[in-house]
Amino acid sequence: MVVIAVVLTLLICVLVDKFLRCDTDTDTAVAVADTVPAVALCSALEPVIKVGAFRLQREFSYHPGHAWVWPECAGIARLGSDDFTSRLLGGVDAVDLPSLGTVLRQGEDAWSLHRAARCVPVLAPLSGRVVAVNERLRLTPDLARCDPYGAGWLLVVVPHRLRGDLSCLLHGDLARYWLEGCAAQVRAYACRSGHLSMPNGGETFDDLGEILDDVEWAALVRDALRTELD
Amino acid sequence: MRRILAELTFWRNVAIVILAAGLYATVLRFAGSLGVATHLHDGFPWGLWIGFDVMVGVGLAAGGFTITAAVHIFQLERFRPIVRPTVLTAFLGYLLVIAGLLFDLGQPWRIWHPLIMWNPHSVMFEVAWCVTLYTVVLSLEFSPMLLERLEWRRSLRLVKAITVPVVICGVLLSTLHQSSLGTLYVIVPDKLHGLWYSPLLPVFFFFSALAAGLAMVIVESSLSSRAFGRRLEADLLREIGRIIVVVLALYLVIKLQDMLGRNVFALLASSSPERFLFLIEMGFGALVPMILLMVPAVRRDHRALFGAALLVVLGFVLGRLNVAITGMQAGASAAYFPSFAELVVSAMLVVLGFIAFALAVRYLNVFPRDGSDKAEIVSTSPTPASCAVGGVLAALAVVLIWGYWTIGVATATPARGQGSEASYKIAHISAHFPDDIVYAAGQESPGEVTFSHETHAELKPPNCTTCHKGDFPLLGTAATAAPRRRGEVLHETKGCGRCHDGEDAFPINGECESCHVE
Repeated sequence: MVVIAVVLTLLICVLVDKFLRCDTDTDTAVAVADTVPAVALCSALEPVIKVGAFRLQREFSYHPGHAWVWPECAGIARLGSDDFTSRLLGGVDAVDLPSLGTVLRQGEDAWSLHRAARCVPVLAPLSGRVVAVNERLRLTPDLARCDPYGAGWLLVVVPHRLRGDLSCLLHGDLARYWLEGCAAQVRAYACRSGHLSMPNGGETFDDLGEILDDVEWAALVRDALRTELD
Repeated sequence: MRRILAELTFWRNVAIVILAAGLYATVLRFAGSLGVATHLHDGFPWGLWIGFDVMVGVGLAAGGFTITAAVHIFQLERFRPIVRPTVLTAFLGYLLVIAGLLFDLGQPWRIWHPLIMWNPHSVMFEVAWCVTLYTVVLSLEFSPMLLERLEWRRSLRLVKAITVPVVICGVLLSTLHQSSLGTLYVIVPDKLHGLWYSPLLPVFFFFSALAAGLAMVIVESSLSSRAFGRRLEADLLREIGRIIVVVLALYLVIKLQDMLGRNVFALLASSSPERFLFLIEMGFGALVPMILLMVPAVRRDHRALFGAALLVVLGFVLGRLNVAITGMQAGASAAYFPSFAELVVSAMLVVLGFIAFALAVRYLNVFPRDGSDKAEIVSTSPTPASCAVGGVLAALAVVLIWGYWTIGVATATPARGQGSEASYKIAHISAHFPDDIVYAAGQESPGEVTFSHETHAELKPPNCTTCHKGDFPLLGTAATAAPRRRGEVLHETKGCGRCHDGEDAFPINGECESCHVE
């Protein structure tokens, strides 16, 4: 009797856990299926503003590693890389996205953008399970640069702790001030490295990846995107 | 406040309830005594806290010494990513075993006695020393995670320098005490049920701990992968799955040989709760998972692999509890079901283990940070392999529920105190049974008959008064003893025939050699 009671208790715990997970997955699947394509929804958002040379969607929340989050409906959040990242690269040849079902953790490596020999690993802006990836990027990865806040979205996740994770992100005016700081940082960096941008009006940094050598590039990625290159 | 409430998931709520109840039970246990808080008694002194918290806890932590030995001694570097989480699991497991022991010991403040007051002839002495030393070894193996966090570089260098000798000590100590836990039951051949009792119990305990420890590595990796959003070391776990097949096969072969050697298959012929639980343990806990893990499709699918490993772990839990509780209950003729405090304390220790693991992962460098944590393909649709393993788990649940209802009726839980008093009496009586009586063979008798009081008296009838109320008056001394009855009288209803009538016991006119020895 004792044996059966103990083993049954353990089995019931596993089954309850399984049931709880199935419940979440089903909800997620339904929600994702019902999700309107991001491009259409983006038209309902505020227009993108410019902060220095970079575009910013004020309604999104930003991780200091330059990934954005848009909690577009209950239990679902859309993720992407901001304009700053793709502008540093100067273009996007390929996007290395996590597979469906991968569990992301805020602040840990999530995806990477590639251009030629350059690679930019990006940190996950929140924790959650990946339930959709932007398949269009496989054919036209440059969408991540052309329309980073719309058709260039990267992932849809079911957040684990949306409220808690969002409280660690930058939003609204705070995001704008932060991006201004980032722009100034890169400007200073470009000046220090001898790749002066003032003749261009001090604004454009397109293709820094092409200009900088490996050491400088690694330092820039570490300072600006908070990630380490392999 | 709203944020805190939002983070209260189902399992966190369950954990809070268990911790609160466990705290109450702890106060109940230490403010009162074992008698107040538990259903343990003189007839059945080792219950859930020993059977589950100690026996199962030690066995499930066996992954610690196998994986560290694989990496540090045998240089199988590919297993290195899972060394730290495995060591952490083992370390926490042993800490909880010690906590469980403190609850179970009547005088926990004397836990250090075996270390100072040596009794080298006792198995418990060896277990106490080995568990203590191995906990020290595990704390040394765990310490680099803490020292890295504290940035105590000199101490870290020192610990790393002695890693290999420490790991070798860990393997030796684990081998000793994992098997010695089985030796504890080798000295009770009269109490432990024949299906589980064997002189090879130490070997069975060692092999089953190896299999369960490795299965626990798979279970722990799968759970932590989901909980902490980290990459699943699928390749390594697959390989561990293959090793488990070999260990389980060895275990089953030795078990079968042992059963053949002891000729105990007859015990499987009669219907009993012990037979039911033994077959479940061997079938669902060893044979089925071994077959499942042989199939490459099961090892490839992470959910199927998790399910098969879970079966091994559940089989191990069944095995240990069968030896510690089911098998001993049969021999002691004592009913036992854990009290509320026992159940809640065991659950609390498990919850504390989960919390400690989560805190360690959060604040220490437990999992490797090599940038490979991001891309793990997790299929979303169920595969045939995962469906099959899920089906086996569901079948196990159904069989156990069925067994719970059918056996539950036969062995209803005794009221508090009833079981303890009764068991005390049988223990008391058995120590004072008269010697066996030998009836010499008569002229036509096929052989002499030896009557054993021990095999004829129980607490409920037939007991002493069934026979000793007239026809067999209780005798004073040998000098005043009544003359021995002859065989033909013994066969009548006033003698053995009183009970051996074919209804209460086997008939007199049945097989003569059941009683008469030529």
